[in-house]
Amino acid sequence: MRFLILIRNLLFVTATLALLAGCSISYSSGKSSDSVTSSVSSGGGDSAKVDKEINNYTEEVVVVTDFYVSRTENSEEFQRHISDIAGNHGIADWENEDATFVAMGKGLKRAGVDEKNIASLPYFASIAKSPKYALLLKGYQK
Amino acid sequence: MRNFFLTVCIVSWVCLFRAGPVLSEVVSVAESSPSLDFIYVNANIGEAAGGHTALRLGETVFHYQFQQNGNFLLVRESWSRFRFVYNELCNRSIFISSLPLAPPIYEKLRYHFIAILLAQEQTLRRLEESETQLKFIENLRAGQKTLALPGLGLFDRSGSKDPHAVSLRHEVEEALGNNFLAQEKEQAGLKIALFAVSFDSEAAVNGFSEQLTLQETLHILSAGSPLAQTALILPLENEAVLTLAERESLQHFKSRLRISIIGLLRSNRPDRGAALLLQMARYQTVQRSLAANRLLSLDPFSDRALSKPVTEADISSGMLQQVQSQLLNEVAAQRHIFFNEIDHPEVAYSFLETSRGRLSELEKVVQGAGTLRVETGPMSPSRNAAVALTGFDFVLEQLQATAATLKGLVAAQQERIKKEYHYNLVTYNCATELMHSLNTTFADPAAERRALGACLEPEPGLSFAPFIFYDRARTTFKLDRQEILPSRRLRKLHSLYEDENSLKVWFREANTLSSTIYEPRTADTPFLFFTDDARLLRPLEGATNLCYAALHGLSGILSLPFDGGERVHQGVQGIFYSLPELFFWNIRKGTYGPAAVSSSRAAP
Repeated sequence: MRFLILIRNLLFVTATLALLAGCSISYSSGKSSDSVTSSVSSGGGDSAKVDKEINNYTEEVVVVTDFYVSRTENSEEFQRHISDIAGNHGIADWENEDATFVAMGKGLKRAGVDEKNIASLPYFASIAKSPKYALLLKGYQK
Repeated sequence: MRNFFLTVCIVSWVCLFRAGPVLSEVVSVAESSPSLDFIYVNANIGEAAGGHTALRLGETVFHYQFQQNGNFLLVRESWSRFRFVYNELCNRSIFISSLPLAPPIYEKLRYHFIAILLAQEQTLRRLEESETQLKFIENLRAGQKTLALPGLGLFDRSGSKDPHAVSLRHEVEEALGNNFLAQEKEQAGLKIALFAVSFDSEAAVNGFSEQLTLQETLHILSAGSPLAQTALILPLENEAVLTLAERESLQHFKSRLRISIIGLLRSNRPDRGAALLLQMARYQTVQRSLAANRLLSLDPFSDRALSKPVTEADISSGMLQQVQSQLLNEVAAQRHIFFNEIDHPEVAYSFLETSRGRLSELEKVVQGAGTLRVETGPMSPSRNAAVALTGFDFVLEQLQATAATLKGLVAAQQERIKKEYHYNLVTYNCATELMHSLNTTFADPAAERRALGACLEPEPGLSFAPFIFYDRARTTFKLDRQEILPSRRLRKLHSLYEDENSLKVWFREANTLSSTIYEPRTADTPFLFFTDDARLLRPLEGATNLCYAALHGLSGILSLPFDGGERVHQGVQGIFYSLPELFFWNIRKGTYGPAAVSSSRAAP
């Protein structure tokens, strides 16, 4: 009899916890047609989508630049990291995108790098004499 | 007894009638002033019986979610996407309480959540890269001397030439000199040889792969190789020919791609080979589009795309045609955006590629293909092709040592991911992690109090339950105002109450059999009455739902040999979700399929 009461209590606790439990599953794990439709239906045709994408991208570049300085990633790792996030936002050639360098400047500012020291940092030293540097400073001074 | 039942019915109906305006009351949040918005999504069947919680910063929602592979991760979604999934498809009401923020605090929070997101992505990507490298080394050890390179499959490397590719080579030679490509190939060859003799680390394997991609890319450029036939999405049904303005816009994009290709050739980016492959493939695609006066694009699906079988039900329901028509609109919209985008055409082109790819996939299914490629997340044309490594003499002992190193690395990374991104009902769920992420934005609780006015400190109570977390946030930050977005069904119901006789609407819409705004779905488990809008009648309706589910399950015993117990399983689930209704608690609300929702988007 005690055993049955124990089982009943356990079941009650489990059910309560299960009902209190939150969180959700990524919707993309559904049926094929559900996945396609949901991916289409949620944001298609929005003319501001490109701007939103660029905004997300630049925010990520700011953070990655901050990582680069504070975690002392090497210059190649930094560039690969930028390539990865650029690819996620539909940008294959991030060096040809002005927003990249403006965001890098902002990231350097956030990381607390002194403006005088930017050109001595690996990678940034390599662009110090290019027009990209002006964009970088623009972001830094924003 | 009869009178009691009648009274309960009438009171419940009155409550319901009153509930409409209350539910639809929306307190508008000023868009211009930055705020931290606490979001609670109420419960529904399946994954979220206790509801879900999220934070919104501007138009971006951050929340923790299960992924297909079992990881429990921070996800960033646009508000429109979040609302579409939870409020429309999942038919769940959303409650929002906003905490106004000073702009620097708002920015600090956004960057903090993005930092968490990027650190998470980097960890997962590193594991994927290490696994790919390990597989490559294991293949080499087994005598399979090939390496699959992303993006290489976009080209036909059989030796034929494409006039557009040849003209690109001439343009490159004009800009960078006749010997440039040969010199770069030689440089890449030297680096490859160096990496091949010291194949002892992850960095060396990575460097080898990058330089090999660059060498192959330069070879494709020099040879004037055409695109692979299967890499192109040809003009789709009902797609219009290019207008004059569109041709002009495409010419501009072509020039931009040419500049990009030359820039990448000059660049010191270690991974520029892959980017070059994509830009070269796009250049040829644009040239072909101009020649054909029709829009063409690259197949955006990568080798990671899943091939999902299309069911008979999908075909017979006519849903695929509905989705197809929706995708046609999507492609038209993306086409319009691309041809009018001035500042960031590459991003707009990438969206166009993705939407055309999806539509083409669906057209194939409508024409009889049995499977549908599905890829979530960002898509970029990058199909793999293997390169033979016959000219290399790898040292077996070195390969063994590298394999051992990589195995250790993979195991350590897997362990880390398991530890950091696992789910625990009480200690690591969407509410606890959101609270943790919010708190770690600030150096200490005092700093959080200065920034937000209060601190949401962890407590041993029931804060792991999303609705309790949300209530705690409202109390802690003294958030009196609340925006309520009723679920899809409740909104539709409210409209019906406004247009028709309320009693008639209630009788018709309170059950799943005669409802005109809901169609029963297998995923919703068998039930008769909607109890989310019937508070007083809930136990009675719950009891009916329970009996209905039990009968459904019992009848499943007969169909056991044919459906593998599916009907019984549904019956048991139906009973489970009916039980809380007996105690005035509602979980199940019914859900909607994407096709049903697609025709009417959520109001902003």
